[in-house]
Amino acid sequence: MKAILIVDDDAASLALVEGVLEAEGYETRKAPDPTHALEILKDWTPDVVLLDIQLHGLDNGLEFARRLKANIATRTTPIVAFTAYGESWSEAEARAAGCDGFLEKPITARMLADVVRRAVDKTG
Amino acid sequence: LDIDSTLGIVHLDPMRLKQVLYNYLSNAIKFTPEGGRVTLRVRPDGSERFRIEVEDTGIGIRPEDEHRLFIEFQQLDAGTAKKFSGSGLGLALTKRLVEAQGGTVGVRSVFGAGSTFFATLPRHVTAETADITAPVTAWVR
Repeated sequence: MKAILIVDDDAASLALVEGVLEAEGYETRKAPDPTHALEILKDWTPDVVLLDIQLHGLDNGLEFARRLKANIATRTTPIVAFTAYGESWSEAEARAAGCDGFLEKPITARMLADVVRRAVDKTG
Repeated sequence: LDIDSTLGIVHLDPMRLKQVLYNYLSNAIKFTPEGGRVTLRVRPDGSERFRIEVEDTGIGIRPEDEHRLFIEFQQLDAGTAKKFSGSGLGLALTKRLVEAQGGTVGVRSVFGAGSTFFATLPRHVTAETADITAPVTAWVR
């Protein structure tokens, strides 16, 4: 079973994304912030990390992405960044931080499932 | 939940209505302390329109801040953006979604006592208005 780590500080959004991915047959774990996510990553390796890059201000989510990409244990794990609609700065920033995918809210269940499947496929 | 029985039949875009309700309700829940109340109300607004209201008994909004709530996040200065972090984005999107369907949004609030966010929409969203889709970006490289 492919595993997804979801990092989002919005509890409602976290629950929705989890529901969609579980219905698609993924194992999921959730973290409200990068600190919790790092704890989870210590002894669990997801196939994809789904990351709200606007966590706690503008930099924290991106900083977390850069950190994962700089770490030999996590650098090959695809990161899909998601962000709110209209945040035009975030797409280029996500790319620069090394994110492998990008999703702009509002996300439909189908879009989410599609992007996650494509990211999972990269891992083989 | 309070739905006026004289509402009759309305036709709408379920996807967008869901997003609007989600934004309003999650906001109301977020800013209402435990033991408070969030009410979703739907009622007719004249013969051609209907009105959705989400009322909460939360912290309310200062009158001088009301007009800023629906403004796009990036148009706010940094301090204000921080203050409304987690609510401004959803509300700006709500405004966009509702206006794309020929509707209006607004808020009435008593600071410290609660807020009522509302949206009025045409009873029948026509194909061409419902066809305006937000240019959403999604990619995997």
